Amino acid sequence: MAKILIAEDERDIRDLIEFTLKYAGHEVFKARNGAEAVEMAPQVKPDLIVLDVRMPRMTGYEACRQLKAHDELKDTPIVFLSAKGQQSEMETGIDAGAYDYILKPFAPDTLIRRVGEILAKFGVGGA
Amino acid sequence: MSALTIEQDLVHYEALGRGRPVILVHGWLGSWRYWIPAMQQLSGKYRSYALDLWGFGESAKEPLRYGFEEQVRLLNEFMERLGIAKAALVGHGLGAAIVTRFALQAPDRVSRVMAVSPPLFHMPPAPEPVEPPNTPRPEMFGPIPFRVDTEAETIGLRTEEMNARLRAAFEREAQRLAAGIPAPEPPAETRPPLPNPLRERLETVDPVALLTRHADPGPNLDKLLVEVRKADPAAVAQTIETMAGVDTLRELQRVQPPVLAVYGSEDTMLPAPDSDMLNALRADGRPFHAIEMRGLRHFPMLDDIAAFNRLLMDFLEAADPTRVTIKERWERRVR
Repeated sequence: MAKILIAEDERDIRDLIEFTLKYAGHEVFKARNGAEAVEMAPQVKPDLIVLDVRMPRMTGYEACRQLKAHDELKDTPIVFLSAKGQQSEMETGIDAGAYDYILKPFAPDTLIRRVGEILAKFGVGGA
Repeated sequence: MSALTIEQDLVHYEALGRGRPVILVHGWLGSWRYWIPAMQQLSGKYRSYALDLWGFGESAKEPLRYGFEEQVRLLNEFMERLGIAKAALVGHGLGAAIVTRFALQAPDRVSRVMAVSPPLFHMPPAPEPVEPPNTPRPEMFGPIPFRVDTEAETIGLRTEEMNARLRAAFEREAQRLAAGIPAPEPPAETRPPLPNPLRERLETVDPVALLTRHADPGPNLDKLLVEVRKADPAAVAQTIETMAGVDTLRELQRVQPPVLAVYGSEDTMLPAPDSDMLNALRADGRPFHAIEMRGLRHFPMLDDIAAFNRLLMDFLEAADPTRVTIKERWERRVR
């Protein structure tokens, strides 16, 4: 079981991601935007952070940069949720320090599998 | 985890999505969890609720609540407590019998019914209720103008009068005991035992044994075993026993909202409906439809998640649910 922090401004998607990851056995923390994610992460100390790109108050890119600048979080993998076809978004995300991206829309099974692969790669148990 | 309490007993449920409500009711072998793929699929357009029945999953293990009627009352109470005035109901196995009974009792609260792997059997018509004979009682304390062992006698009485009659009956019983007078023989059983073809069909009521017999090995079985082991075996046994006299086939014939029955062609636990059953269900232009999912067994929602979820969405969205068909993936590519 891993601790996963998700930041997504659309409530339905946020709830669906939480639901899916929770019942895949993970502990899930939710943020409504990049600023909340930056605020929560040092307290939660997640094993993985999932960020949407376009969010109010603080975009996923800026949140990623700030999280990567934090001593305790610089090695935490960050994954972007990116709209299909937005190649530039993916490249910008990787430049900002993200480890990988998942294209939206995604099937719940795909999310579980991709999250599992990333956690395994970073040696997080229960992935 | 979401939960509510009914008379201090916990009912666990999960909810997901926004939109019109859909309530998912599990069966004998499992819990709310096997609806997860369906809930994920529904979440974009519907708010789905999946609850654990009494004795199953994380809901209270209270044996007095395990009977079939109690489980139907649970569904009613669940909807009342969550303020769900009307919903589409999806039930599997036992859950199919429960949602059918509820739709019969409260048709104005049900928009449509999907009965997955419903327990359908040819059963004799229910016998007419027989009035128990008036058992003569000892005249030791004077004539007794009434009996208090029938509910019918107290319906319509005001509480004060009913309480007075009950007190009088208790006092007479206390006097009889004090005087050492033996109790009168109870009236002889006047009804034949109710048929229970489900109980006759199942080789066992042990849920783990049932599951391993009627589900294929694999990840689905492994997950289901975890859930089945959470259930109180007495809940499984008692819900099967209390299906005596429950004629889901006849009840489906009387349900008013549209019904779609879905079943796996290879279901070995509950038989697929035969042509006589299907004809009876479709008689008189009733809004009934049945779909057989070929090659699937007792858990079509897990055996072919994509096909089942497509079918479920189509059923919920269709203006005429009786025209829903199975869509195979390749049909879309051909276009």
